[in-house]
Amino acid sequence: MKRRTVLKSFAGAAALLGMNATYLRAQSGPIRVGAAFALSGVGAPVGKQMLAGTEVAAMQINKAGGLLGREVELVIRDDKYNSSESVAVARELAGDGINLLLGGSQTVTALGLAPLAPELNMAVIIVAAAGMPVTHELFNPNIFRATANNYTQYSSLGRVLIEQNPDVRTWVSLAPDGDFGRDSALFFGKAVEKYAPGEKPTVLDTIYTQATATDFRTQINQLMSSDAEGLYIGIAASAQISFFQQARSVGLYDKFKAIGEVGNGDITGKAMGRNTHPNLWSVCHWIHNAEPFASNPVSKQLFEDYVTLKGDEMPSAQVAAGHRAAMAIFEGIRAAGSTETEAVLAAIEDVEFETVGGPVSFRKEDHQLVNTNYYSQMGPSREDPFFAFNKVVSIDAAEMIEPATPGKPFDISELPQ
Amino acid sequence: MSEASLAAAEGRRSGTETRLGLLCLAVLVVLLFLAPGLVNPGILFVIGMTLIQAVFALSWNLLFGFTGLASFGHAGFFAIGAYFTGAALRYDFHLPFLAVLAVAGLLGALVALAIGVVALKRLTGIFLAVLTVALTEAMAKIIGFSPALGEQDGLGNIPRPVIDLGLFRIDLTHGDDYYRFLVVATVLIVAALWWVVHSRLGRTFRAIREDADRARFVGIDVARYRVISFMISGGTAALAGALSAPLTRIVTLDQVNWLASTQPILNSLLGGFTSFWGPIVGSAAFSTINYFTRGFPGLSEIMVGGILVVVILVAPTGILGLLGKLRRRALGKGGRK
Repeated sequence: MKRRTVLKSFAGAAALLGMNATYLRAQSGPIRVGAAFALSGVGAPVGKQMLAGTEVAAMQINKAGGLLGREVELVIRDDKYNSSESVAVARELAGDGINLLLGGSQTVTALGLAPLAPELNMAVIIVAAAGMPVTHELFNPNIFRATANNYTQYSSLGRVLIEQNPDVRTWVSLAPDGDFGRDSALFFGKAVEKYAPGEKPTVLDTIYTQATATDFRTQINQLMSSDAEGLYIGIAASAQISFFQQARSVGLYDKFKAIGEVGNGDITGKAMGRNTHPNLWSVCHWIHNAEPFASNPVSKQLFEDYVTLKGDEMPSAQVAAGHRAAMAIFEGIRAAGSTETEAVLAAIEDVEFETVGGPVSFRKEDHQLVNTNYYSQMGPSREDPFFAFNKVVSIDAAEMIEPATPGKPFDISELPQ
Repeated sequence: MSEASLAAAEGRRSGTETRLGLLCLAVLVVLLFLAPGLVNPGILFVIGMTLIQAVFALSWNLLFGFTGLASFGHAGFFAIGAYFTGAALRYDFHLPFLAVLAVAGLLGALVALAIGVVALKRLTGIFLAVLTVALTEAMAKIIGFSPALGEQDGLGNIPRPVIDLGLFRIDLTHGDDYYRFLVVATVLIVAALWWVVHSRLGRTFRAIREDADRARFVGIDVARYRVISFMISGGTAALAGALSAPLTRIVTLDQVNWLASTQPILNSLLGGFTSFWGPIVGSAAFSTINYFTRGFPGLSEIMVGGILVVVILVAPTGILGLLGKLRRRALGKGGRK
C-alpha cells in the first residue's frame, strides 16, 4: 500500500471519529442552550434580571429530572447591549454546536440576531425585544418573540388608562425622541381615543425629550401650561425618577389626575416612596405578592426558587421575562422529544405553557407571543416601603394584537381606528 | 572590526529581518485565508471584525501617528461607509458591490474634505477634535430621525452581495465567501496604506508631524497636506465601515457614538502608534482579550483598561514598542540614549 493511501485512510478515520465524538456528545451529554443577555453596559440592570429568571427555569427543569433524560446546561454570554456583539455571540455558540438560543433582551440585539437564525440553523427565542420589526419585516421561521410587542403593550396601557379614568378627557404624552418613544406615544394616544367611553377625548401633541435627560424644566413647563389632565410617560429608568422629582415640586401631581408609565413599576415606587403619584399606572410584568400573581403556582414557585438561588427577596419583574422565554424553549424540546432545530421550531408553534401570568402560546403566522398583559396601579403608602400596588388590571393580548403580517413592516394606519 | 564591516553586517541583518518579516506576513495572510477550514464560525466572525477594526485603527493612526493630528470622532467616517453600504445592499441601488465600496470610501473622503476646507487653517489640535466629534454627533442625530436608515433600531437584514464581473460572478452570500473577500480587501487596503506611509507623501506627513513650522519653511503646503491626510484617513475609515455592513448584516447607532470613536484610538495605543503595524497588533490583542474573557461579563473592559494603563506607564509606544525595546536589549543594544 502506498504511503499516501495509508495517510489518507488515517485522516479519514480520524475525521470520522471526530464527527462521531461530536455527534455522541450532542446526543448524550447535557442539553446545551445558549443564553445571550446584556450583562455589562447600560443594558445590564435589565439583562442580569432576565438571566436570573432563565437560571431559575433551568434549575427547576433539572430538579425535576431534566429534559429527555438529560440535564439542561446554560451557556451564558454577554451581548453587551450591542447588535454586533450579539451576532458574534450567536456565531460563536453555533460554532460550538449550540442550536438553541435565548437572546434579544432588547430590540437592538434582537435585530442583529433575527436575520442570522436561519443561516446558523438555530431556534432563537427573543426574550424581551418589543420593537415591531422582529415579527414583521424581519420575521423568519427560526425566531419566536416571547414578549408582547410595542403595539399590544402600549395600546393596552392606553385602553386601561381611559377605561379606569373615564373622567379624564384631555391626554398628553412625554416621550423620548426616538422611534420607541414616538411609537409608544402614538399607540397609547390612538387607544385612548378608541376605547374612551362616550365622546372622543382630546389627545394633544406629544412632548419630546431625551431618553437619558436629567433636566425636565422645559417639558414640565409645557405640561403645566397644557389643558391635559392625563399623562403617558415614555421615559424610563433613572430619567423617569428625575422627572417625577422635578415635576412634583412644581405641582404636577395636582394637575394630572392619572399617569401611565412605560414599565418602571416598583423601581419608581422604591425611589419615590411617599412621594409616588397617587394614581400611577405601569406596564406590569410581575408582582410576586399581588394578585393574580400571588395565587399563581408558577409565580409562587418562581419566587421561592429565585430567593433560593439569589438570596434576594425582592425580585425584579424582569425575572419573569427571562423565566417565560426559557420555559418556551424547554417546553418546545419536551414536546418535540428532540433537540434538533426543525423539530423544536415545529413543536414551539403548538405548545401552550404556564407562566407567572397564566397560559401563553405563540401565534403560528408570525411567532408572536399571545398572552395576558397586566397593568398595575400604585400610590403612596404609610408602611414600608411607602408605596403600594393597589390594583392590577389584565387585558388579553388576543383583543389588542395587530393582524399578523410577517415579512411586511407594521403600519398602524392600516388598522381600523 | 571596521566601521564599514559593522555597517555591512547591520545591513545584512536588516535584509534578513525584512525577508523574515515578509515571510511571516505571507504565512499570516495564508492562514487568514484558510481560517474558515480551521476555526469555528464564531472565531471566524471575531477574526473578520478584527480585520475591520485593524483597517479602522490604521486609518486613525495615519492621522495621529504619521501626520500629528488627533480625531476624536472617527466613528462618523466609519458610519458613513457602513450606512451607505447597508442602504445600498438593502434597498438595491443597482450599483456593483465594488462600486458601492468605492463610493463609500469617496463619501468618507469628501466629508473629510468638507471639514478640512471649513477648518483649513485650524486643522489641528482641539479644533479638529471638536469638529470630528461634532460630525459624529450630527450623524447620529440625522440617522436617528431617518426611517430609511432604521432610526434608533438600526438598519438590519442587510443582504450579502454578489460581485458581477461580466465574465463571471463571485457569490459572497455565504458567510465564509464574504470572509475571504474581506481578507483580500484588507490586504489590499493595508498594502495601499503602507505605500502611502512609505512614499514621498508619507514622508511629507511625517515632516509636518515632526515640526509644522519647519515643514512650512522648507516649502511644504502644510494645510493642503493635512487635508490630504485627513481625506485618506476618512476615506479608509469609511471603507472599513463599508466592509463591516455585509459581515454583521446590521448597522446601528452603536457605531456612531464617542465610544465607537475611542476603539481605533485604544487599538493604536495598545499596539503602538509609532509603528505602521501597531494598530493591527492592537486590534488583534484587543479582540483576543475580548474573546478569552467572553464568559466573564465586564472583565474584558477591566483587563483592557488595566493593560492600557500599564502600556502608557511602562511602554508608551505600545506592544510593538515594548517588543522592540526587549529585542534591542536582548541583542545588547539596550540602554537609554
